[in-house]
Amino acid sequence: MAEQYLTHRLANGLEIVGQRMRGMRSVALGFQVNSGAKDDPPGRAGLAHLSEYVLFQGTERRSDRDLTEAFDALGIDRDSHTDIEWSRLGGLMLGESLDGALELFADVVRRPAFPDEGFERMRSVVLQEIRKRQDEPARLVFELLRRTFYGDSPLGNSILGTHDSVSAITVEEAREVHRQSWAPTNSLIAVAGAFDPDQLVAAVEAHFGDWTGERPMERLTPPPPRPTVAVFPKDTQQEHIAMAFRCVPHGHPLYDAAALLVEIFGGSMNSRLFREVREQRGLVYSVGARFDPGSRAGAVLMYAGTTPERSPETVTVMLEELKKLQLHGVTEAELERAKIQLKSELVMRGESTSARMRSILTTWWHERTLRTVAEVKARIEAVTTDSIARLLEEFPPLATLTIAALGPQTEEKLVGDALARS
Amino acid sequence: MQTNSTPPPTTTTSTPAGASADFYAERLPNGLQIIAQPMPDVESVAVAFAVVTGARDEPRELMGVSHFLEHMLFKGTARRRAEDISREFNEIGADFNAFTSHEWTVYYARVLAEYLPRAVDLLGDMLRPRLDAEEFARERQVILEEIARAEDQPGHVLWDVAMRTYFGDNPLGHRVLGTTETISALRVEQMRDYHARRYVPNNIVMAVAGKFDRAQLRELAEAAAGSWTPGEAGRDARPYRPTPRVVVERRPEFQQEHIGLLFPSVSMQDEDTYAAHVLTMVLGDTTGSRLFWAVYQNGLAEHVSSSLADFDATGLVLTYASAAPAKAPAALASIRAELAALERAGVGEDELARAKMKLMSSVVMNGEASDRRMFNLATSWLSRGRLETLDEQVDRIKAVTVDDVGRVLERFPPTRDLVIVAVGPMAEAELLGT
Repeated sequence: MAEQYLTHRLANGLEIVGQRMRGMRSVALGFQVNSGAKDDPPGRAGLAHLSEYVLFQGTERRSDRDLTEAFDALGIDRDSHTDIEWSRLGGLMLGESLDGALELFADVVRRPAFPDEGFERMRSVVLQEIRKRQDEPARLVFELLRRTFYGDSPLGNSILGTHDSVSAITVEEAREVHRQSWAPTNSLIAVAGAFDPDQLVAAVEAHFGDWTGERPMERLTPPPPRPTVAVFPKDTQQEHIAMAFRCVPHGHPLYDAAALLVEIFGGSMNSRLFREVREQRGLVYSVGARFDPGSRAGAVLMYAGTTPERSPETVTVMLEELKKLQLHGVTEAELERAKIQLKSELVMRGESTSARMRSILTTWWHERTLRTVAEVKARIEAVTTDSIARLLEEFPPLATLTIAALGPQTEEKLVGDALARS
Repeated sequence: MQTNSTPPPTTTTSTPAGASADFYAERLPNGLQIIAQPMPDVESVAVAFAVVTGARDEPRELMGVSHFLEHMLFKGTARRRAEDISREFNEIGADFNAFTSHEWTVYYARVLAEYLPRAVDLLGDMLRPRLDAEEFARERQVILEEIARAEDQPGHVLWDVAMRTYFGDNPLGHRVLGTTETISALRVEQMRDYHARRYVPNNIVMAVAGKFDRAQLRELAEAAAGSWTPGEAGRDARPYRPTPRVVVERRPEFQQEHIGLLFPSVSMQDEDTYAAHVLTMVLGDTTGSRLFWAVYQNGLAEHVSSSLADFDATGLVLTYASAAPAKAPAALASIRAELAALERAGVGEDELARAKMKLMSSVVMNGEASDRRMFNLATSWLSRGRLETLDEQVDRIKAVTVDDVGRVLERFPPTRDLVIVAVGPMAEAELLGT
């Protein structure tokens, strides 16, 4: 491990990973905890997400106004996010603001006030976010896809929740879920950019050292996938089509093969989906695929948006491409180009403190290791058309394919027997 | 190929005023400008060809031609077929794209330093496209899909209604994508003619930031664009003052009421540009601003923010809020009250200091990536004819005083020429509470 990397574990179990980056004046900070929408109890969808919002409504030491003004005075570009498997607080700032930021985030994480008024205000905000999501079909369709793909598993939970579930949540429940599920043993702090390692460790020790609590780092295994088609009617201009098939999780030996496969299939303007669906046939503006690896299982997600009358052809072409991929794999030339692309992106993302922070956080989170840019490059290099063929054999796309669509088109017209023919 | 709806700047052809040692600025005999800034600590380099042409330069019947043309640049040249272009970008591992705004059309790539010559060759070649009739017909379908997609994005719908309402017959009211009607009626000959008029070298800037060889830059530009013949491009850009009005478009399929408030502000050439930016943050930054406390923190909207849209010769501040119908009248009333309070009493020292800190931090942080740096360079050059280092920008922000902000408010009082638009399920009377 090159010396610019840092790992440290506090006596209470909280871990820190860091990467110092030469020539940078900024530093990116992430605080991640193993708590997310997967933990929402039945009837309380949206609890983790709403609870995270209320964290910033004030602490035992600071009112909501004091807190917001303190973050702003340090010039911190804050960024918090509740996902299915985890929640993350953090932000991007100038190096000299890091100590102050750690103190503020410690206050938020350890001493949130959960005031009644602030809770009600954030509930009102979230109820409106739920409405707004209905106005954004290209995003909504992915929520519907996930629910269809993961069925009753908590991995299919809605992050925002529904009007009814969010209306039912009480401030005590929000406080309790935070108290119960955020602990030093299931949290991780990641830092990348301009910082002094000794100072960082000292600051984390000072602000988090006497934090107590124990929660295991348990991870969810999704149920065996079953291919499904679900078409949701909505009065939109375009038919929004999303698809998913099962793939490898983080830490899997074929992880890099999967990343390259997705790049070739739908990752760029030179990908198969882009060429066949958009360039050759002009069926869409947006089409593509992305890799969505989780803790215990991953997925490849696809999307196309097209006017209803052209949607059956769009689905047919996408299914044909999946079939070709499953039967014939990828060519050497495609693989070479995809490798250049991924390696180049890797180096360029290596010039961003936020991207490096997310990268070391994710690798440590899933594999308890750190990888330099050079090490990741070597892993990409090592992928062959054979390893991609092995991946396709282990995870044949059509075997687990789930389709969710949102728009005016009927299921019969949209998909018909196209799946059966594939 | 994205369509950027928050428009970056344009034009000016002054001499290299920012002739600091950090920069490189030069002009080819045919008028093509080169601006560049080396970044010592990066391995990548970002390069763009920015053409000073966009939706505001279109005759109304050709609305959307700039953006459609941007798509066609990826469809082949005399030397390359469409698939060659994307494949070659792929072979050099480029992060590449293009965008069109009201002000300009930009083609860019970010690559590892060794590939800069290939990236410049490729982008330069693209700027002399084949404009094949068959490809044109196929790409028209893609544009029509892009228009349909925008109709499914309330933010996009609101922006279009807002610009149309605020600018009326002024070409800045044009929709960047065009309409289904203009795009369906457009002929390839019209596009060829538009290209011949607008894509002349004296209307194009090549901007570079990152790791590159200074001596090589001019050669690369010469090889790519030295043979192009200059022409008359120009633009009709003049100050604009809107007519105050309220336009509420009913879209019963939307759940939220999407509200926009627009008032005049600095143009991109204005010397008060930093004061106007800071003022906009005090008013409507996504955290800690007046609107954050009055609207978001009171649960009246799920989002509220203000942004400065500065154009050639004119500019405006757009405030956007997304509120449930039950909250929307209170949200709108609250925003109007904040605009009036700002106009009446100006800003305080503390809130000004916090806004400045946030803006300074974001300038420095954005300056670290070669692509962001390159866009920043191009923006500052094309709008104010200056090349500014990050430190110079930070100094200018630091220097903004309460009085500077007061002067901006006096020049552009928020409530005087206020335009209000909304799209969503509500009728005008419901929203305005009248």
